[in-house]
Formats: sequence, structure tokens, C-alpha cells
Amino acid sequence: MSLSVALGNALSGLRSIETGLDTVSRNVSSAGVEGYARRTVSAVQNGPSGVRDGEVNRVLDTVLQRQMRRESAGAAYTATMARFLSRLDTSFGVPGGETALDTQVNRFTARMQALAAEPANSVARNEVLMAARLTAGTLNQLSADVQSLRAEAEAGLAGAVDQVNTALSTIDRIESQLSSVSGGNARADLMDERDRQVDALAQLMDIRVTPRGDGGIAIFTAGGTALFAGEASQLQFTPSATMTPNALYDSDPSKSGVGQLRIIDPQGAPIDLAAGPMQSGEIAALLTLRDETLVDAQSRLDAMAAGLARALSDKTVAGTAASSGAQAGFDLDLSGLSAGDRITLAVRGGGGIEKAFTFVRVDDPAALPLAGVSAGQADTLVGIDFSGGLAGAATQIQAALGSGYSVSSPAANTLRVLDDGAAGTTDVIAAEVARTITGVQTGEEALPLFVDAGNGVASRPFTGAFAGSAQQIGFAARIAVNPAVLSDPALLIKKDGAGAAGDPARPNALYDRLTNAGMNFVTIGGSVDGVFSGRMSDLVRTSLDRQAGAVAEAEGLNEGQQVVLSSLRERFSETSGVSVDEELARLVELQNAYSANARIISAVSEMLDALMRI
Amino acid sequence: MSGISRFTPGMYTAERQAGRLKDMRATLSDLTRQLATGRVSDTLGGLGASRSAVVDLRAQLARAAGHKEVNQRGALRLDLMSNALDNLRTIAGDARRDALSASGPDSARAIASAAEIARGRLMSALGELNADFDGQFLFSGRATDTQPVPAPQSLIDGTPGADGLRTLISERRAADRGDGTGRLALDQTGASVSITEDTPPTFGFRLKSMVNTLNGGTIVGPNGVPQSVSLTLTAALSAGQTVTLALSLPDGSSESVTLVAREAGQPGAADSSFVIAGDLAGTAANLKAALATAIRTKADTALSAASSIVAAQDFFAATEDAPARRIDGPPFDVATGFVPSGARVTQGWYQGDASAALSARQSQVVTIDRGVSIAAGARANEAPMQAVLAGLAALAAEQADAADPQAVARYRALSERAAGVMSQSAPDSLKGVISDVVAASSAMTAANQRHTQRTAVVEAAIADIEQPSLEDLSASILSLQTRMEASYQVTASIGRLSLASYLG
Repeated sequence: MSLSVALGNALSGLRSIETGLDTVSRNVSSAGVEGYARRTVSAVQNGPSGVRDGEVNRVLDTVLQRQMRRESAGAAYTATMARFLSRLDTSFGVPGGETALDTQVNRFTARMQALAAEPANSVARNEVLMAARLTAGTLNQLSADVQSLRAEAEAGLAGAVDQVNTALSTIDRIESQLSSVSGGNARADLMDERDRQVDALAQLMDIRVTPRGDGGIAIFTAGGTALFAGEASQLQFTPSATMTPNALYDSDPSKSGVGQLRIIDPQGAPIDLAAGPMQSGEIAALLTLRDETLVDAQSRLDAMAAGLARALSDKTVAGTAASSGAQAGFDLDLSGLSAGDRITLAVRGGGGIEKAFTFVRVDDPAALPLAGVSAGQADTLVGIDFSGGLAGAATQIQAALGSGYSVSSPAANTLRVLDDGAAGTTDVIAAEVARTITGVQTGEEALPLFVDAGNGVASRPFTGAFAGSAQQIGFAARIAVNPAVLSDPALLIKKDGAGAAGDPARPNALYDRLTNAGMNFVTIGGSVDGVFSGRMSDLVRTSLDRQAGAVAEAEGLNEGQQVVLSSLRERFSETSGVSVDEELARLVELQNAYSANARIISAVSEMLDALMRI
Repeated sequence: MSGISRFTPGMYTAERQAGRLKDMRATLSDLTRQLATGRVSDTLGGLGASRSAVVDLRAQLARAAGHKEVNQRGALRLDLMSNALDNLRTIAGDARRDALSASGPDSARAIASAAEIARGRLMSALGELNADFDGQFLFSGRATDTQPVPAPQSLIDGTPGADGLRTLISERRAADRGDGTGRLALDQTGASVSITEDTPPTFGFRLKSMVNTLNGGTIVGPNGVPQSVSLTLTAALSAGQTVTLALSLPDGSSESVTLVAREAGQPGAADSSFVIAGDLAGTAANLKAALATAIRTKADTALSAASSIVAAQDFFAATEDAPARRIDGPPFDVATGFVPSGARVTQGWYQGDASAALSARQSQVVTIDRGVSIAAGARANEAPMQAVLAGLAALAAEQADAADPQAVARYRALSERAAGVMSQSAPDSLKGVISDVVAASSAMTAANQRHTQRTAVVEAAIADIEQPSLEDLSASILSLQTRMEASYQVTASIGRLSLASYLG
């Protein structure tokens, strides 16, 4: 009975056209939906006669999709870095502006110069103190800005962890529904939603997605830890309530001052994530900012604060030449050395290579090796335990210098460093001791104008001691003008009780220390540590330059990354994006097919009528 | 949150286009910001590779500005200083002119008025030395917060518990005068007349020399300890023959008395002539008496004036650490030395810094350029200033007694000596101090010209880095504007292009 077959064919055609229309209308209406991939459907031959609906296909280039996810993780990383660092750049102030750190330091220097010219002028004295307070205040403010950015990164981590957990549990739910829905637009909808969640996850962290059977997926971190493999893991993060310069990451949770990021696998076992190789994604950026970039920024501020304080309070005494037989070197007077004070030795060893050692006095053996000193610096920036007396210290310095030198203590408070004499393979080129003058009227020109006023102590001298945590860490947040000098500005002039009010010696010396005198500044904490030799003004310039350089680098990287991401998205959208024109053309096609099928039905109907009329 | 935009594959082309328009708009607003603020960037990071140079240049600029301010104020201070010293010089010059004028005071009243004028000049001189700049005293060395010199009245009259200059003068006069012969002892034995100095010869006259034109007059000395000189007559004298005795005074000046031999009955003054007696011993006795009279006259005039000068010099040489030396007494007329420093309290006159470790100039050191400093201090107790004050104060302290026949001659002697003390020769003179000060001031002005030039160069360099070129900026804005207009038009036209518009 061929007429009924024709009718059946036409009806199956109409049904398949309805599915086609459904797909076209979904495509058009969902064109503006985030992550929506264009769908196609085509009718397939249904056995001997008629057509039936084919599979609804999501037009998707999976290779491109994987690439795009990787780059969007990179872009999220660079964008987050750039966003935080440009805010840091802004808080450093307009170059040359009133609030810029270098402006404050320059002004303080100029006020000191004016004071040196008119030491008895009380207005000049007060202006020095005002400028000093503003400089200290600027350092405090910048330090607070850095810490508030760290706190923001910490809060951002908490938010990102929530998003990751939401995405993972959504993926978990979708995966379990997927097995019960087969084919059609409903399944495609679920897969769209799953891809959206994976995309969101990819922006947050560096992930690897692998297919599992039956259209399912498994998600791993870059380090290979499973986030989702049939069952979802969860991230766990407890943000710390406050953020201070001393709150640093430590893999030991009991020592860590910041929130720990961990993966709790479906069995409930925790895995520490920060230690893993997270390279991109927003979470990695926030961790890098919190534990490295912003810690570096803080350590640069601390180095400037410490440099400022020590430039004014240090008394540097060069060693006196000493010899023993053919051995030549220096005697150093170590009287009055406080914890944190430094001995600097320049030596020429085998092969004529010059090396500068900085030895820091430490009174608490528990502080060794020095906290905050990186491996690269550890052999030249060495803490020396003085708790066992000078002889013990000499032994430790000897050990740090190595063979070819002899270090001894020939008299009380005297340290002698000699080369290898007749062998002639080593030389001691220079030796000096920098010690902090902690009193305001000791007869010395050095003045502890800046002190450490924090952690519940009204004022204590800044010596850069290492005990517990290094005093320098977070010093920018605590630096303040010595209250003794604030209450008696004459101390800027009077080195001792009998000093004349118009004696320019002290302000002249302080001015010289700020502008001309070369010194050794130690930067610790963060990844930028080292001993910087130069003038105070060079330290400020270099630190600001490095800070701005980090910002410029982050912004440059971000621009490049965004371009890469854009071009990938463009290519992706060419394949998977809905083209309304194409859909409308398809609509016309479907309309025509519908008319044709309907025409067949009406023809069959006429033919049947004709048959009935017989 | 992450900072990267949402991704909608179906709308991406349109979104990209909109994004590009947004970027162009952002660029335009950055360019107009540059135009309005005159800055390439509002942050250090935005300045690119030159940022380090900018920080350094700004530090240089601040340093130059600091130097300029210091030098400007310094030059002003030094100008005030040289002005005060000029005035001091004028005062000293006026005082010298008056002291050396032929018509000196000829009565006790005239002396009192001359002393009053000297006191007025002393006050002016002290006023100049108390000059200050912005509350800081110019002549106090390092103690710029201390007024260097107190009120003149207390200097001359003293204060309760501290003796003034007048007390020092009267003590010194008594000590130098002794019993009236200026501590010289005269003796005559037979034909010999001898004059012997005091033991030790701390006060009074010192013997300098003796010459004679007498027949057979033999002079021995001055020699010996104590120093003495003797004249022995060996032949009868003729009238008109002379003996001249030269004496040194404590202030370094010298005086001489010449005695002329005369016959009895010839006229002649008692302090300038002696009568030839019948025998050599008688003549010698007459000679001794005439010498004594002449020496007494000198003791009451020149020696007394010299005492004033020495006392005034002692007074003004004193510092807080080394108070004025005082004569061991009373009684003073037989005193042979000084009491230990500070045993009797003397009114101090200089209260500023007198540290011996530094010169007066070094007491204020100003850094005028990187690594260049000049000494620009001064102290009221520098030798040239001390001398002017000592001269003026010695004149001002003089009190004339109308009954004193020697008052006029003494004041005359004092005037000459005061004028001598105040007249100074370079380099240790007021002129020398003034030229030091002027040299420092012009060094500051010259340094400031350098700083001004340097500032201009550095500012230009900063502008090169920080300020956008207006030409480039307007060209960029124009081309951007053209591109944006074209983009808007094309975007609008393409937006209307859709199959939907053409399907009936």
C-alpha cells in the first residue's frame, strides 16, 4: 500500500522538521547565552522508509576548547596580577607628587640640609621632624596598602574556593544526570552547562580535563590531583582574619600566618595545594600575590624603612690594619655591637674573585640560620651567634670564610681577620663594623631618629635584630620618629648634654648620610633579598624602580595574554558561535521542506479522496 | 572577579567589535588626560624604562632646591653680618677720629661728655654684635640661640656679685701706680742716681733705656734682676745738658722723660729740669728729685691710661671658660701678681660659644653644593671686635675729677691709646672679618647660579620623560578620532545587515 507509505514518510518528515525548527529557534534565542555552542541536527533514514531525528550535535572543536581553557587560566592569572599591582602602583603615588615616597624622602633630606645651615632655628628643627613624620607615615601607609592588598588576595582566595566548590558540585550533579538523559536537546543543554562550569573552573585554576566513558569527564589539577573523577573533591580554605607583614605562608599549618588551601578528596583526606605546581588561574595568582609578589613589595618597603633608620643611626668604623708575620688583614673594634649590627668583610679569594661577606650579630641561637634570607644569599649574609662570646663568633666567621683566612680575637672586643700570608692566594681587602647608636645623646653624630614603634612597644631602637622573626620584617609598618626627639627637637643638634644649639655637626653628618655616604643595606624577606651597597638615595630609587618594574611587567604580560585569549575565542566563535544569518537560511530551508511534506500529504489526501469517490 | 571578560561564542564578533570601540574610547580618554595633566602617566610604572631616571632626577631637583633655599637664607644672613660689621667699623672709625683730633677735651666736664659719647658708641657697637637673623644671633658662634653680649651698663659698672670694667680699671691703676712712682724705686748715693724696677716687675713701669749728654755722665743698665739703671756723675755739668729716661708701659707703649740741667735761678719746671748744685752729690740729689717728679707725673697720666687699656683688654679677652685675670689684693698698690682665674667674680661679657677647638669662621659651616661647604660663622669675641670694644669701653669708663690736675692729660693719653687699640691692620682686623663674610656670601650666590642652571637642565630632562609632546599628542588624538568615527559608521551599517531584515 504505497499511498500510506508516502503519507508515513511525509509525516516523519514533518516531525523531523519540527526538531530542526526547535534547534534553529534554540540557536537563535541562545545566541547571547554565555558558553552556548551552536547545535545542528540532521534527519537520518529510518529503516526501509521515512526519517527520524538524528543526534543533536554541539558544534565544538574540542582541541580549541582545551587550548582556550588553558589560555583563559593564564589570562585570569595575568589579569589578577595586573589588577592588584596597578593598584599598588597607584598607592605609590603620582611621580613627584605630594604623596610619592621619593618626594617625602627628598623633602626630608632637604629639610635636614636647611637645618644644617641654621641648626638653632627652631622652625627648621620642627620642619625636619614634620618631614620625618610624613616620611615614616608614608611608609606606614604604603605598608598598610600592601597588607590590605594581601588581605584582599586572602579574601579573594576564599571567594574563589567557594566558586570552585560550587562548580565542582554542579559538575558532579550534571554528570550523574547525564547518564539518564540520552540524546536530544536536553542532553546538549546539560553538556553546555557542564562546559560552562568547567570553563569557570579553568579561569580559577590550572586544570586538565580528560574524557571518561559515556560522554563523562574527569578533572585534575595541573599537579595531577583529582578534582572530579566520578566523585567531586572539595577545596578547603580558612582565611586568616587579619593580615600583617609577619603573617607569612609556611607549609607547616601551625607556623603559617595565612590561610591554607587544601583539597579534601571524596574520602576526606586533605592534600596541601599551595605546595603544588600551580602556575596559572586566578587562585594561583592570588596565592602568588599573597605569598610572593606583595611580600616582596613589603620587603622592599621594609628595606627602605630600615635603610632610612640605619643610615641615620649607624656608626661605621673601618678596621685598622693588622698583621701577624706575613699575614695581613684588619682588626675590628666590636665594642657596643648590638644584635643585628653588622660586620662587613671584602676578601679576594682563589682566582682573584672578590667576595663581600656580611656577618650579622645574633644573640639568640634559635634565630639561626637567619630567617628571611634566601639560599642564594645564605653563604654571604651569615648570622653569627655571639651568645658564646667573641671567640665562638670568631670560629663561626672562620667557618663562613673558609680556609685561607684566619679569624681570631686577640683582645677583648677585638676581632682580627688575616689572609693566608706568604701563600698569597687570599687577601682581606676591607673590613668595617656598622653598629647602631641607640642613645640620642651619646656624643656621636649618629642619631636614632627613626625607631620601631609597634607590636605593643612605644619605641625601641631599630637594630635589625634577628630574634624570633627578623625585626626588619614589617618595619615599614612600624617605623616612627623617635618620641624623645619629637619632645625635644634640640636633640637633632645636641650630640651630648653640653652641645651648642648652633652646632651644625650632627645635621650636616645626617644630611651627608642621606645623600653622599655609601652604606650597606640588607634586604630580607621575600625573594628580593641581598645586600645593597650604595647611597640611601640609590636604595630608594632602586627599590621604587623594581616596584614599578614589577607592575610594568605584570601589565605587559597581561596585555599579551589577553591578545592570545582573544584570538582563540575568535577562532572558537567562528566554529561554535551562532550565526543568525545561517540559522535563518536554515529556517527557510525547513519552511520549504515543511511545505513540500505538507504538499505530499495533501496530494496523498486528494488521491485517497479520488480513490474513495470511485 | 578574575578580570577576564565573559565569553559568548554566538555574540563574540559583535562583542569584540564593541570591545575594540571601548579600547579606542579608553585610549582617547588617556590621551586627553595626558593633554590636560601634562603627564604621560599618573604612576611610576606607567613611565616605562625612564622611571628610574625620573626618581633620580627628582632627587637632584630636590637637592638643588634645598641648596638654593639654604644658600639664599645663608647669603641673607651673611649680608646682615657684613652690614653689622661695617657699622662696627664706622663706629670705631668715628671714635678714633674724635680721639685723635687736636682739640681734645680740656676740662672735667668735657671729659665726662666725651666719655658719654664713647658709652653711646659702645652701646651701638654691642647692638651691632647682638644682630640676629630670624631669631638666631649672628655673632654667637655655634650658640646661635644665645645673645652674645649683655647690656653695656652691666659691663662697665658690674652687677651685684660680679665686678664690672670700672673695678678692674681701678685695681689695675692702683697696682700700676704703686706708691705713685709706677713701682719704680729711686735712690741716690753720692754722685750716683739709680732707678730699680719692682720685684717681680708685674706692674708699673719697666725701664727701657737711659741716655744723657752730661759731661762725664756714666750710665749702667738697664740690667740685672730686678732690672735697674744707674747714672753716675763724674764731672761738673753745664746748663742745657740732658738726661732722658725711656719707660715701657704695661699696654706696650713707651714714654720718655727728659730732664734739662739748669743753673740755680734759671727758670724751669720741676718735672723737666734739675738744678746744677755745687758738688756732684748735690746735683745728683737734684736730679733724683726731678726724676721722681717726672715719673710721678707720667704715672698719673700715661701709666694710668695704659692701666685702663690693659684692664679693658683683659676684660674683653675673657671667656666663660677663661674669666678675666684679677690682681691679687687688696691692697693692690703692693700687689705682685694675679689671683687664680675665677677667684674673684668678674662680669662676663661674651655669652656665645667660644670653643677653642674651632675657629670663629668654622663655628658655622654651610654646605652650599654637593660636597662643597664654606665656613660662615662669626663670634663677637674675635680679636678685632674685642679691640674695638676694649677701646670704646676704656674711654667710656673714664670718670673725670675736676680737682685732679692730671685729668685732662690722662684722658688725652687714654684717647691716644684707645685710638691705637682700635686701629687695626689686616688680616686680623674688622676689614679681614668683613672680607671673609663677603667672600662666603658671594660663594653662596655663585653656587646658587649653578643650582638655578642645574634646576633648569634637570626640569627639562624630567619634562622630556614625564610630559607628552603636544604635537605628537594632538596628532594621535586626531588620527584616533578619524578611526573611531569610521569604526562607528561601519559598526552601525554592519549592525543593520541581517538576513532577518530582508525576510518577508
